[in-house]
Amino acid sequence: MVQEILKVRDVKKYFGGVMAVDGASFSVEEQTIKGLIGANGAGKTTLFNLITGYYKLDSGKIFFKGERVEQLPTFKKARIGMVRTFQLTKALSRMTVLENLLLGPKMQSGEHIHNIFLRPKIVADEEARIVEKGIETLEFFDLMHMKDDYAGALSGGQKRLLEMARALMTDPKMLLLDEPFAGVNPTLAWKLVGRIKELKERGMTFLIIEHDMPLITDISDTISFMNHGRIILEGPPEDVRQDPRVLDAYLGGG
Amino acid sequence: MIDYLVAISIIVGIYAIFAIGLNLEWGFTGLINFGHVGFLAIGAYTTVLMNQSGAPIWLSMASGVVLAAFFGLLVGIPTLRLREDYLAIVTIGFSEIVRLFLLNEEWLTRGPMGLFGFDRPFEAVIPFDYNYFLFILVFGSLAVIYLLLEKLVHSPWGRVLKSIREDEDVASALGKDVFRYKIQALMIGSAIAGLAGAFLAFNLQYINPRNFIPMETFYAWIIVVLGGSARNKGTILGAIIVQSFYTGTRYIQDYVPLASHQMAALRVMVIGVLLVLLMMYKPQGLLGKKEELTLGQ
Repeated sequence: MVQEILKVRDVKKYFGGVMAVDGASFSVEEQTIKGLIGANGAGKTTLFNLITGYYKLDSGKIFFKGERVEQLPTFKKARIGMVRTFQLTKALSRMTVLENLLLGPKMQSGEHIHNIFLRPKIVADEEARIVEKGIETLEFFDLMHMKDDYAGALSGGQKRLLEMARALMTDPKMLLLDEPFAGVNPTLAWKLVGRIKELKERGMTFLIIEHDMPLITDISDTISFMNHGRIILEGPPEDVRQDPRVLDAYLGGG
Repeated sequence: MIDYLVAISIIVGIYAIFAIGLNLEWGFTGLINFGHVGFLAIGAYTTVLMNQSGAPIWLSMASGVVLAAFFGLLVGIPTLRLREDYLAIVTIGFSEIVRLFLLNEEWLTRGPMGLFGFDRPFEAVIPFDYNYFLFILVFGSLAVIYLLLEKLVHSPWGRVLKSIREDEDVASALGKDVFRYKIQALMIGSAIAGLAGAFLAFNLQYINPRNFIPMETFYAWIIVVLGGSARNKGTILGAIIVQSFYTGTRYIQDYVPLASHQMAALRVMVIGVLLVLLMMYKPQGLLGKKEELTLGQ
């Protein structure tokens, strides 16, 4: 049976008098990749911010793995497996590339002061495992040669990779990626597409905002099209892509 | 001569402790605390008042440290959920409230007359000049605090603090309870300031609200920035430079043709010029890492 991991119901958000998200509803099934497309200003990133708890919704419901989560703060959502990346990359500049990744794993014992002094062995062993995992992840993302550089020194595309790598370090159930391919060179972008599909096979679910049509059509199982704060169209990638409303939004005219 | 050096060193040590607490808050966590002196005052007054009402001196010191941490919690709870600038405003207000309380609640603090006549640790049994013992006590404490802080900032806990400093949205996206870490950093920094307050009282043997004007907070900031933010060693170096200059120039007062108020003004000017030069030629601070400044956000 197909399980819905994320269910968004009639979510609304106003900024002052402006309606940014106007009753958006959609669902993401477990172990699928959903693309979220729409013109600039359609409300995609706002919707991301609502789902992940950066903004409070004005009304509506959000379910994650069957539980209501719209009141949960961001960090608690991350802990139950919902992790995002940002449209404007947020590399932690004055930390090394490896340090950025080591931050990812959840509930590290060394993040508690008492463990650092009372259980140094446990903390050290855990840290060694995390470093190992961090290095494997860096290797996959072709960032190994920059391991000890400050993250602020990376190029735009590399920062995006870093961000995705860091999010993966948390072992998420669901990843919400906000324009993960923007600024990434095409070869690497297609390699990432492969990696994301592979992660899906292993049980992960994705919600991806992306403007690059060939990439998003290839990667998605279904696509939702957002316009003026609502999801107005959902379906298989090829159908959505050829819908006149989508063509309109992307090629102008409307 | 040795006595002078010891006297200056004690002041250096006290300010190093005071500033290293701020370095945890600002250097590692990015918290803008403009009221650090308030916690110094709480530490000093609590230690003295507890002792004067009969508590043993060690218990009095411990109370000062704990109360300073507690006030860190009180100030942090309403402000640390907000954006960082709010903390700056609230803390500077808080430290002034503390000072004005000490100045006006004469029934407790004797107001502007200040407090004197209190024990100092082991004073009765130290057979030599007490300053030598105080020197050992202050630097012993500084060493312990330094080692504990180094252990903390190089742990996963310290990593989370740094991520909050860099971008707290990322920390929360990765499941870190940002608020909890900020509170912890502020409480530990404040506790350290409280301890510095107790030592300040032991050194002066007389405290009054004038010891706790906002300028003291900014001396801590100068020390942290001069040494290089997020470098505990740098903070200690900064304290050595700023305080030996500041205190040292008091001893040469007799040899320069300037009135003491002119000398005081000159000191502040020289420190100002020093900071301007630092920002021009070594903006990362003396022990800071240059690469960090050239990074785009």
